[in-house]
Amino acid sequence: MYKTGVAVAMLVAANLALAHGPSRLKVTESITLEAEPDKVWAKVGNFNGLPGWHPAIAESNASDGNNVGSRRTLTLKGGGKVIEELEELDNQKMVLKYRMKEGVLPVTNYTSTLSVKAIDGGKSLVEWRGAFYRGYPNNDPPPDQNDEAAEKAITGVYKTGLENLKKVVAQ
Amino acid sequence: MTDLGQLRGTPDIRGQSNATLAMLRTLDTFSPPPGNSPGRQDSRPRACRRRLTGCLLMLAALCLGTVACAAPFAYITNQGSNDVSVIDLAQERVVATIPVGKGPAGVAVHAASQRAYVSNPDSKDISVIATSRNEAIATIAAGDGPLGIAVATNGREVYLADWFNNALLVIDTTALKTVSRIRVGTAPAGVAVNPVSHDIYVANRDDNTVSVIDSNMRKVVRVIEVGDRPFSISVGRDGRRLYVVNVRSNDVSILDAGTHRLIGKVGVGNTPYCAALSMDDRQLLVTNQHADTLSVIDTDSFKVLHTVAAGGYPEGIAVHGARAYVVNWMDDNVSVIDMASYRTLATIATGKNSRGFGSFIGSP
Repeated sequence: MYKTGVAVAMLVAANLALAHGPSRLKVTESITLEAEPDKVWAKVGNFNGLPGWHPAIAESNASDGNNVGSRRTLTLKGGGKVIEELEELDNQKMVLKYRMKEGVLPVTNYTSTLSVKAIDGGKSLVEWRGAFYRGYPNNDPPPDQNDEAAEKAITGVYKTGLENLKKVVAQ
Repeated sequence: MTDLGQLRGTPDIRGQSNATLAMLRTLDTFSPPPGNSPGRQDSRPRACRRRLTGCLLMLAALCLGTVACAAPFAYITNQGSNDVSVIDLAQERVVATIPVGKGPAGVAVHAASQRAYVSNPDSKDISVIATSRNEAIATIAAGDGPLGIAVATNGREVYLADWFNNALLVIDTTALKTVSRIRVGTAPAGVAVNPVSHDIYVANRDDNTVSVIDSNMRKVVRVIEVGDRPFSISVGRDGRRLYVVNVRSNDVSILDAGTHRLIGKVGVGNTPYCAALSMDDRQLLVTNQHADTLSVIDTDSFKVLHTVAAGGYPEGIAVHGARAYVVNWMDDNVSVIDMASYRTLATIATGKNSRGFGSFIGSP
């Protein structure tokens, strides 16, 4: 019985990874921080460091640190897990890209980029942008799996994260 | 085939003056290819002389063999703002914004019939645009997930992938309705037409195959295995080869259009999406969506010659003359890239979530 459950879950996860809805969506959030880019990047550029600044993440376990291909398993404070893979990390450009492999977010084919840019006066601009399809891959999605639900979820992740990052960096 | 007759037949002054500008610009960077058929030019001069004089005539003759003079406009689908940005390539700016259906993604321009066809997956239809007026003149219901779209060489039919129904729809462009439905593979995405054999190709994304359809018989005549998650297909102007972009395996499958055999495979950047050939078919430019770059492939050696910067999530791409136009979905703009230096010369703001999935400039 347990085995069947796991098999079904894996099948569902595999299908979600392949299929997607008709229109890709995007969300961009950014925040200006009163801190030097290097100091901000020390937080943001650590693939395994989300629990240090994102208020919704309880735990992160990365398989291979900051190396491309490393997979982190995030445990959310509200319950549930998200598994993401590092696709690119550039310490010079201060850009980190990752892709969700599976998880509780109502999105599919979700990729995300975090970047830090220097702005005048020793400040930093942190930008978090995501590209994804809604959770339900076919036409006529249920309300919790439609475009709005997907955009709302990702916007929430980015906003709460960046707002808290501001507090953490100011400490 | 675009020719001067078309330029002559363009009713609005805009088309003519811009075509002239495009010719002048083209001359800066282009020399006529050695294979330029003299026979094709013989019938033109008398018609030309009435309209164009002296050196313009020479420019026009040069232009015949190289670029689509009468079609220097790009039609960029904006999935987030439900419209199409029309870019005048000579001026490098948006000259019109055309409201279409919901979530426009695919586009195919047919220069000779002065039409552009746009697929709207969210309203499950296609919009027909009259390019002379830059207006949507008809909406045609089209399956459940209209996506990749291409026009027959003669302009009489439109071929449309129906993503959710695993079918290719054949739409009559005079009757403005679906006249045939051909079963293809799972999740058909990109569609292309061979300009010589008139075969139709469909990338079946979730089957890792390409269906080859005989356009006369309207039947699948071959199914070819390609890479992982093929999404778009480009065909050489000489009709000899097709290039299939595989989103998941990060490579391009190169197929012989005659034998339908795989003749090569080239690795590119992360999550490639679309490709376009240079005017002489010698270089293939591939957009790498998650790397924000273009891979430039030599089509003789099958090697990547350059990897160059593009905007955010580059998707659609088309080449016109000596420039490539790259649609950057994340940035809501189009990059104009010089094909000699591969530098970005300009960026042109479009509508929201621009995609330009297809031949958005149209074949010369």
